[in-house]
Formats: sequence, C-alpha cells, structure tokens
Amino acid sequence: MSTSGVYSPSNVLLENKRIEEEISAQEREIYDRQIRLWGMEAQNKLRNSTALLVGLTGLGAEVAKNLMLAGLRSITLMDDRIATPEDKMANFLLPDENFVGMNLAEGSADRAKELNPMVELNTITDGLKQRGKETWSKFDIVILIDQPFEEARRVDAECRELKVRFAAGSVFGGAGFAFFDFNNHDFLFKIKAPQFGTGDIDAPIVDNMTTIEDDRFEKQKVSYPSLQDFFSVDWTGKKYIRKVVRYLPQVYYPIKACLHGSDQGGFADTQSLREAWKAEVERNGQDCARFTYEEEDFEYFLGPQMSPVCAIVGGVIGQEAIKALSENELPLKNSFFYSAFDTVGVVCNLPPP
Amino acid sequence: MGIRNRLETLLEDKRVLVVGAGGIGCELLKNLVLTGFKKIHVVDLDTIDVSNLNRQFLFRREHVNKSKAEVASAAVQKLQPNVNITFDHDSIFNGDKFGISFFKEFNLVMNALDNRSARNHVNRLCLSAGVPLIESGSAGYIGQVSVIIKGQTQCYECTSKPAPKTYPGCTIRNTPSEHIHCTVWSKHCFNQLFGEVAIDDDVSPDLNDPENKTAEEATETMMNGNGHTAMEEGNTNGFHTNGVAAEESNKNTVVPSTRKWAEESGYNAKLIFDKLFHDDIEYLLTMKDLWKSRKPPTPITFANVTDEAQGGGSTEMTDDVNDIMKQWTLKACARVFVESVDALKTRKSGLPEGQLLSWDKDDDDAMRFVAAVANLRAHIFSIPGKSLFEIKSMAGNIIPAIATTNAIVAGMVVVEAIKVLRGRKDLIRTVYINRQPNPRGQLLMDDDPYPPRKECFVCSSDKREVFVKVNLNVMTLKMFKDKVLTGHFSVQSPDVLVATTGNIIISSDPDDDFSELENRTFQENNIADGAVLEVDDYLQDLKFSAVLFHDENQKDSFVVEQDTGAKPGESPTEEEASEAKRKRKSEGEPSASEGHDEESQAKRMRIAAE
Repeated sequence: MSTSGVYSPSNVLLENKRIEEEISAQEREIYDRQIRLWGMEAQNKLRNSTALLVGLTGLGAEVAKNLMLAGLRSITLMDDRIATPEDKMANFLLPDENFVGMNLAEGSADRAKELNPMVELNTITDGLKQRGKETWSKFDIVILIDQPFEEARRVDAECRELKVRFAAGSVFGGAGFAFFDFNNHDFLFKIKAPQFGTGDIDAPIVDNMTTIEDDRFEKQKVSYPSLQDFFSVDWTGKKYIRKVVRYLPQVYYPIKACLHGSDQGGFADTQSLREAWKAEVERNGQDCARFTYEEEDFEYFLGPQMSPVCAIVGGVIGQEAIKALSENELPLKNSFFYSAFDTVGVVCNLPPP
Repeated sequence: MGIRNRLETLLEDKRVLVVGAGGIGCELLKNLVLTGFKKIHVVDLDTIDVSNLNRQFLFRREHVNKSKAEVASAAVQKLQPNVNITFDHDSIFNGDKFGISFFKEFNLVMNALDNRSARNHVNRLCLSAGVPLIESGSAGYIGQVSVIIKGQTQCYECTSKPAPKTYPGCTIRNTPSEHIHCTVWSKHCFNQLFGEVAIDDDVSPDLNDPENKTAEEATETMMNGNGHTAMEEGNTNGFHTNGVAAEESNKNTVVPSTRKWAEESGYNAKLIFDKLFHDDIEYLLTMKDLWKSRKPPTPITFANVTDEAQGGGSTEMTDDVNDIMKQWTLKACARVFVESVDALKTRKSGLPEGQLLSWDKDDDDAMRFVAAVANLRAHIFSIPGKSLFEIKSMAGNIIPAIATTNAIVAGMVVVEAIKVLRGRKDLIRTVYINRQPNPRGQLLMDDDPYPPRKECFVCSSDKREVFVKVNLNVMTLKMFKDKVLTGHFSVQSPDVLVATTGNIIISSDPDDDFSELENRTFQENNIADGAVLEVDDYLQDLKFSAVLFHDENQKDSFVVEQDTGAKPGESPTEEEASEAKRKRKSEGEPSASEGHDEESQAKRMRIAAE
C-alpha cells in the first residue's frame, strides 16, 4: 500500500464547498440518508461514475437496483440473451407483460430507469464475446454477473490492464459468491484523530460529537490479485496444505464446481454436479468424507436462483462497488462466499497472503 | 427442479404477516413473492417521503404522501399476479383490529419496523398468539436478524436495550455546553409554542437548579419586575405579576406557560424572540452561581441581531436561508425564526379547536424553526453553530439507512423464514452483518439463538418481575402510567392493582374515571416503599409485577432495574455481569432500527396540518 496524499481538515472543508455547488437540492433530498452515512464527497464521486453491468439474471437485477438507487451518473445494462418465463421468476425488473422474447437488458431497462430517473441508463445487446477493451475502457467499473468463468477471466485481465475496477458474482440456487479486483485503486482510509487539548482543563467543551472535520483521511492504493490467480491456488502445495481447511468454507467447492460447469452449460442433475464437486475436492487434496453434504443437498446448488440469496450476494456486490467508486471505506478483500444451506457468509482473501 | 418444487409445496398454504413496508419491508416483500410465498398481509401506518426513495425501491416520486402499505402491495402484486397480497394502512397498535386472534391467523410474522415500542408490542402479541416472529433491523452498514419462538429462543425483550440518551433538565434549560443541548431545547420550544406540552419540555430558566444557591434572590428579582421584559412594553398579560402577588407566591409561583404568553402576544415573533433570547437570558444571568466557573451567556435582541452587519467567521457562514449545508449567520437565523413562527402560527390557527401541531423533522417549517432557535441559543452560550443538515440528524435521531444493507437483511429474513416453516429449528441462526469481516472472515456472523432468559418479564413463565426506583413523594400515578408503563415498558392499555390490597389504581376501561386518583402521588395514595403492583395489559396478554422502591434522588424521573433480576442495590455476580456483557457485545449496535426511531412515531401522532 502506498500513500498518495493526506487530507487535512481544511482541504476537506474546501472540497465540501466545491461539491455543494455540484449536488442539486433535489438530489440532496433523495440521497439524504446515504449522504448522512458516507458523506457528500463520496456521493459526488458516485454521481460522476459510470458502471457496466453484464448479466440480467436474478442476481443481476439486484445489483442493478442497488447501483441505480445509489445515484451513479450512468449505468449500462448488457445481455445478449432473450427473456423467458423462467427469467421473470427471478428478475423483478422485467415488465409484467409481453416480456417473453425481449432482450434481457432492454427488457429490464424501463423499470430500472424508474428506480432513479436521475441516472442515465443505456443498454448493450451483445454478449461478452463480442466486446473487449474498447468497451470496458468507457467505464469506471465492470461487473459480470452469472457469466461463464473463462470469459470472466479474460475480461478481468483486460480490465486490470486498463485500470478499470472489476467485480464478478454468481448465484447457484441457494449459494453464491462475489469476487472483487480493485487493483491499484485509491481508497480513503480514516486515520484516528489525534487527541488535542487533553492537558488543558480550562478549555471549554465545545462539542463532543465527532464531525467529519475531526477525522483525517488518507488515500491508499490497494493491490488485488487477478481472477486467474484467485481461482488457481494449488492447495496441495506445501505452502497451503495446512491452511486449506482454515481458509476455505465448505461451500467453496460446490461453487467452484458450478463455475467450471458453467463453461460447459451447467449441470443436468444432482449426480453430475456431485461428480464435479468430488473432483474439485480431490483436486484440492481433500477428503469428501470431511463434508456434511448429503446427496439431496446438491439440489440446492442446481438452481433456480433463490431470491433471498440474490438479495444477499447482490447487496454485498452493490456495496463494494459503491465503496470502490466513491473511494470510501475499507473494501472487502477479495471475495465473498454465501450459502443459505448452512448460513455462511464469509470473506476470503485468495491466494492467502 | 428441486428447490422450487419443494418451496412451492412448503409455501402453498402458509400465510405470513409483514409489519412495516419501509426500507427492510420493501426488500422483504419482493423477496417473499419471488421465493414463492403465496399469502402475504402487510401493515404500515406510514406514508411515503422523498427521503425514502433512495432505498425503498417500490416507491416513486409520484407516490410521495401515499400509503406505504398500499403502494408496496400493489407493486409486488404486479411482480407475481398469482400472489394473494393484502394490506392495512393502519397502526399495528390498533388493538381492535390487530389483537391476538388476528396474529393467530398467520404461520409466521416478520417485523420490518423502525422503533422499539412497536417491536415490543409485536413481540408480545406473537408470544401470546404462539406465532414465530422474525425480528430484523439495520443501521448504516450493519444489521441483524433473529428468530423468536416462545420457550425456545430469546424474545425481543429478554435483553434490555440501551435507553435513548437524555440530558438533565438543568443543562437544557440553564447551562447548555454542547450544540445538542440547544437542539433539544429548541424542540421543547416548538412544543411549548405550537405542540403538545410534555412535563419535561419546559424552556424557561429552571429556578431549582441545585447549583444555584441564590435562587430565592433571583426569584424575587424576577417577580418584582426588576428585569426588563418584552411584555412590559404595553402588554398587560406578561408573566410578571405585581409585587404583592409575587411575594405571596414567591418560589412556588407558577410562571404562566410560554404557550399562554405567546398566545396573548398574538405570536408576535419579535416579542417571542426577545423573551427567549434576551429576557430569559438576562434572568439566567441573575443566577450568579451558575456562572462562577462557566462563561456567562450573552443576551441578544431582535433589533441588535438584524441591524448589525455580520462580522467574523462570515466566510464560513451564509445569509442564504435556503442553504441547508452551511451554518446560517445570526441575521439569517433571526429571519428564519420570524418566517417559521409566522408560518407555524398560521397553520396552528387553522387547526380545529383543541388540536395542536406536532414536531416532525420532515416538516419544513418545524425543522427550520428548530435549526434557527438552536443556533441562536448556541450563539448566546458561545457554542459553535451547525447547519440545518447537521441539526436535522440530531433533532430527528436519524439513523442513516442504505439500500444494500436492507437488501442483505431482508434476504437473511427469508432464509430464516424458510427454516422456520420447514420446521428445521436445528438450522435457525441469529445473524449479524459486520462492518468488516471478523478474524474468522465472517462478514455475516452467525450464532445459535440464545435461550430465553429465565427472568424475562415478558416471556418467562413464572418470574415476571421488574424493579422500578421512583420518588414516591413526587411521581403521580398518571406520570407512572405515561412515563414508566407506556413510555418505558410499551404497555398499551394497562390495568394496575396493588398486590397487597387488591385496589385498582389504574384502569384501561374508558368508562372508569380515575383522574382524581391518577393526579395524586404514590405517597398520597398510600403506596409505600416496596409495594408490589400487578400490571396487566389484556391486549398484549401481558402480566407482570412491578416492585416500587423509593429513591429520593429521582424527581419525576425513574430507574428500571430488570437486567439481572437482582433487587436494586444488590450487585450482579461477576458471572452474570460478564454474561450480560458478552450478549451486548455480540448483539452489536443495530438492535434499534432500520432508522429513525422517532420518525414514524412523530408521523403517527402528526396532525394533518397541511
């Protein structure tokens, strides 16, 4: 981590003055509650940010909702698939009628726009394969939802080159994960305010509430591993063999199996998923008997996406995207795994530092 | 098609109640219909405000001022037309509608509330009706979900929640040292002038300040009219009486209420200004003991403030009364004061006889009044001022709320709901959202539900006792009913009898007239130290004993000791203390709310003044 600038109270004050002019009274009214949480400066950074969201699944709709509400400058929805009745069960942004046959991104656009008319909304009807660096370079963050693993790896590598923030996430039935790559991007770290005047008992007590002026902030860059490195840790190696149980939640293995499966179009039944899971566990030098999963439990990973799981994983992805774009708060490093089946929601930093 | 078929079969005949259609409620309703819940009823009294739109995503700008329950139901009905969703735009406290039999109609109740008294109320009704309850809350980046099943898990009231912060009356009325003191005072001031006057809301100097030993002398000065007051200038109804009357009444003179005074002056904003910020301050200055070790306040008059060109610090202050992010100059404060008093006066006079205004942070006139008054008072006491935006946070007890946290909380509620309906109590977890992952990497920290507390006055089977310290010579039965039973214990319609005599002292029957009894103190009603009161709320099906202890140090305040089950004075064992500490620690902060504890209560009481 390197330091690129220290914000003194007077700088923050000047900054606030400038921002006030930029955020309208109408915006302030709507965003009142979140400005009270993350401050005016963060809100101003959000309103100058652009996001690309690929994949309008149930999880994609959740992320789209969270980002629209936050008040970015623009959001682009991208998907090349055609909506089916199955999509309507998960994606609450699709219209109530006549959605079958619509492109998923275009079909989700109207309702997404209604969530916050102040945000510019665009759509792209291509798939990931048709797009590359030229597209990603136009955005401050690229978020891939429920996309095949191989393609996601390519996009992440390209975004790293461009220094565009990258996030990816998937939900398989009752479990899901999110991955973040905010490599070399600034985040604002709070430095504990120095204690003044503790020896001066005659000083009047002005105000014991902490205000933003009392805090000092420091911008720090954070380094993140790539998606490629994230998922290619050799857990059987000497370095990790003893740490694997501590580092990985049991839901890691079915999720990784599902991800690899998504490159081949997913699994037809619990048995084939179970086979893939077994292979994944063994590849990591683990014994299947260690896990509590029963045969029928694998139904939980087969889908369709459970709405509450989309809400939880989508909430985490949305919040991390907001942190990254507003350069505010400590970001999660670098992944989140969730399983409704065993009520687990953990952050993993992979490869282990 | 594993999960979906299983869920369909499971949820086919289940009926659930959602209490609250706000931040968590909107997310929850969406999750429920998408998960396959078929029969949903939602209750919310609130209407939609602009500041809800950043997270309550079922609402649009055109829905502002409409019923949350109605708009939210219509929105999720459209998502899944085959869902049977019904709603009540009503208060969950409405006992005629939402009694125990109403709650029994549901397989599960989910709270999405923003205030403690409503949570207490639903907790009790669910325990009485034997219906499982899922409780949830969020505050900023953190949140929590817990399942309440009678006899199996801790109920909402098994642990006592931190009491809302209060400030000593003397500090508020005589010696403010922080801006919050001035903000609290300015809200009291609003109530004194336009709203319902509560016992604790007095804004005039407090003659009984224990620090002030020259009280009698000062009172005389006040009563003999040595100080100059606005009302002397041609008005005969001032709060000065003539010398004879003053001498007779002296210290116990009842100073005419600020309300009466203002009404008689025709709500003349300039006169009110000079009384609050000049005459009363002059009077405070006569209480010399207060200023021996403090900087004395500086009185200001309307004429001085508005005539003077504003000097120092003007680069950071603004004359623009529409700028809510910057601190107003004194001149701007005075202007806002006059404008808001005029606006509120007009609105008050337009109300039907006997009705009053009620303070609400989203009421622009009321908020501007409070911001101006707080800053004027802060200036007088040499306390740095604040912007309206900042004062609104303090005055409205705003807990910031965001969409993402609410989405996560609502997701976790449904995950637990499915476990409860499947009968898989072994899988139920209490879950907290951490701001940062803990050392084990948990962003969502889960734990086994705690067992019910044996001494819980709400859910235990035998030991339902609370211990209350009051000043029996000061506290009236009415004060006990309003502040202790309703205010603290969230009892809605109490019947109270004295255990030893069986005498009924407080009745919920509207046909009973207990007013004479209620206006007397405990002591005057011959209720002594150690008395046991049997409290019964038929609506909540709640019965508990309140043991009274006399405490000379309490004035009209009280202290409740129910935490440890120990009697006052007995200290809890170390083990108990560390147990309580552990619980508090793991409970995290957000036991309170999706936000704004006071917000909807204010709305609940708001009179349609617009």
